Amino acid sequence: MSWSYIVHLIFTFFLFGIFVYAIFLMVSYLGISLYSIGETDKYIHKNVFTDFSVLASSSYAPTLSIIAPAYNEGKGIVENVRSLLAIYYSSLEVIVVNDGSKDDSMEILINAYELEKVDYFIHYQISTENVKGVYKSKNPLFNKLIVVDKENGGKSDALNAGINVSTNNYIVCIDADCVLEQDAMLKMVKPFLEQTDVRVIASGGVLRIANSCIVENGRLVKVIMQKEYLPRMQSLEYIRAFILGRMGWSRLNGLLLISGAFGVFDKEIVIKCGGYSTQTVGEDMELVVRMRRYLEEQKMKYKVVYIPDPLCWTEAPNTFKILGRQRNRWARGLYETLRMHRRMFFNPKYRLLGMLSYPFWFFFELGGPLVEFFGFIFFIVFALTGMIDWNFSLLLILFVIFFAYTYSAFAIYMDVYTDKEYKKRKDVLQLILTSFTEPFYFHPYIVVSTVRGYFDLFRKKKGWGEMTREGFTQTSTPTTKPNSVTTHAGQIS
Amino acid sequence: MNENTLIAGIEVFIFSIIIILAFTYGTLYIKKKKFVYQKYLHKNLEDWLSTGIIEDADKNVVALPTLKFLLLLKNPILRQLTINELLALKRTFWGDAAKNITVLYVQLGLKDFSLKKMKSNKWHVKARAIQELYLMQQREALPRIYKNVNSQNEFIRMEAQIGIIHLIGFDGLRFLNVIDNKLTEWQQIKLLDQLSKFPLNEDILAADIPRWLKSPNETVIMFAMKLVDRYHRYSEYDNVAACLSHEVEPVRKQAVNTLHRIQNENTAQLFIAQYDKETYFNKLNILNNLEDIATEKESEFLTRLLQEPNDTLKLRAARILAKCHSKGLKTLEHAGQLQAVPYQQIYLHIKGEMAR
Repeated sequence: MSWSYIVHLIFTFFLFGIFVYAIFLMVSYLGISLYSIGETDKYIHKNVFTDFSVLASSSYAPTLSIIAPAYNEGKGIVENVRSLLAIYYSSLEVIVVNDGSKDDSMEILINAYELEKVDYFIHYQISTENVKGVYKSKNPLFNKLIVVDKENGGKSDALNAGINVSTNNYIVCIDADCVLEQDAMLKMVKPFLEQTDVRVIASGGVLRIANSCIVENGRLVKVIMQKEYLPRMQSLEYIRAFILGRMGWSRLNGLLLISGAFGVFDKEIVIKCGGYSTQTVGEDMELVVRMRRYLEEQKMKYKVVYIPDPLCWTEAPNTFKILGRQRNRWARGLYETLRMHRRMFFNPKYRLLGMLSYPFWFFFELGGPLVEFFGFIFFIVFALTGMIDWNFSLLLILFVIFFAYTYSAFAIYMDVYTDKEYKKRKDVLQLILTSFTEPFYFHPYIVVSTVRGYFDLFRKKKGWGEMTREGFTQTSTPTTKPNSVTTHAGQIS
Repeated sequence: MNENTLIAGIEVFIFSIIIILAFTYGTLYIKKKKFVYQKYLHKNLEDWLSTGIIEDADKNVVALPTLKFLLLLKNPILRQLTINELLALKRTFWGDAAKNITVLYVQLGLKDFSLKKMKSNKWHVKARAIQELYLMQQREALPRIYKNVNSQNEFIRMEAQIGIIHLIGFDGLRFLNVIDNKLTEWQQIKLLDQLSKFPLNEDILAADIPRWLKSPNETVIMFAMKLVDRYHRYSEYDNVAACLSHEVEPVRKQAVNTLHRIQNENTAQLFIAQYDKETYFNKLNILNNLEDIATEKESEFLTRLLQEPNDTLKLRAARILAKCHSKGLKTLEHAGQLQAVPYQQIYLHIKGEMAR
């Protein structure tokens, strides 16, 4: 067997492998997307019969504890807390956890909300870093507010501290800098009231990009298509993920991720599972996977509910540097989560979770960027060694690219069909044109950042990396929102 | 796998993209058209309402809107939009204006349209038809709506149940005698909301609540207890107390909540007797409900609870003890002196709470 024959064999195997992988990936994504249509339709029809205001005024509505971790968010914290206190829901407490900020967040909060340190007995159902103090307001206007000041332990630790302090049966974990829709809480809570034999353990909604949108006094007043390329591109990504992917998984009851930016959880199950893991930077996904795993092992009927309405608006990275850090962290979080729960991989004991959800995430979400990255390297090597059949290779690349365009176009159509935010022809055209650039500009960067995340894992790199936010476009007093805030509590997916 | 296959694949994708884009812009166009029609309908109907004179009060006849408006109704989509608009107006207007809207709904043949939709096999069309009929006060449709209170489809049966209450108030609660499916908490909230729009019917509640409290359907029991709670049916105290021994945990929880609302001098002791038999969350609920009804008589029990292994239960018991007994806070202070962790912190927590 000659050397050139072996190389040719490797090349053929490589090309065939890429093709087969691409086909599997396409079929999976397309299958999930098409499967999502029925659920989307059902939700649209169901909404006709839903009057959320009934819930807002009912004394039988469940009580909620909102937990908002904050780290170095001093410049925007007052406005963010005000926005949380103004949430349209009758019975809730707002717990802001200052996770050892190095800035003057605590002082600002104390002054703005007339806080005083109180003796507070905490039942440590989940172990956390030391809590330095619990603060409550002297002003009865802010009696819903509890501020926990603790030593730095990361977002998960801060959320766990909030869970320990919370007194209600349902917890709402939210990023302090998110902007919620007026009826977001009502929509998220309703599934818990609809449960009968199947226990609802968590609910999440659609996250949307708020860059360029107008925010007034903590409320989103006007949705505007993102003017900058990166946020617009991420907007398209979010539409694909939330409108197609999560909806389909929700219908299958195989959803593994409730966005860390906004999710409601059954506190009893969260505590039984040990709360958020501090061993991963993908704590939002890890918690959902662990809760599901726990209930599978207990052989309990349960579901994770997904609300296909835009409920929460967040600011997306608008520079490649920050975007890269974010995707690096997501990659590490995904790897860590899947590694922690590797026992479920094709394990029939975990039913759909083990046989479908986990393998999908493993092969396509975790493996996809690796296949693309190494595929590209092999492609260059083969090109340099003159082994490439250019016609075929270019056709294969075009085949994959046009699939991506089709998928994006379908996501945009579903967004329009479901009457979400972008209703102008110009906005839709912008999204379509943006999607055409994705394979050449945005996507390669995402793949590289993700692969760097995997490499960082081997270099034992931990932590979130700093996220710099620009702040929303405000029409209210400019002092309430930062122009630039450095935080590491801003995960958006 | 060859080049031709890939080319064919690419062609399929390009074709799909063109089709999807055509659908997208088509959908945008239709939505815009609908929006324009909606605005037109809204304006027309509002103008009509402002001048809407009942032509013949006895025969329930109103002056019809413009001819152009009527012509639109030939189109089933626009007919549905008109119904939607009428329903939206019905929600905002009262008195004669609301009555005129109902008369117009019938006069334009939209009631027949709704009745026809009730025969649909699509759940959302049928549920929508029920909703339209009850919101437009079509009592003649009551028997047809009632047939659906046990529908296999949750949305149809929910709308039917709401519809019955909407049309005949407390009398409509008789559906509780026949339903096999569970009433979700959400549905119970909606039913209570509907009932709140009617004057209390003592007779029905007095006659039927005892039966519902013994229903084989635990959600009917829970709903009945909410009725007891909402309408202060003190006479049902014993029947509700009997629910404390129900095997379903949420039923027992609701029983505690309801008994708290219709409490008497024995309620606190009843809760104490129940406490040890309960799950953790029901124990918490008992303590929450005990907070404002406990007296010095319960202090012995509460002092015992300070030894509970669970810290949350300890804290709740301590809070009640401090409130119900003049020496409760002293007891906590003393416990803190004997064993600093966790009692000292609990004492300070409660003391601070009481001072605020």
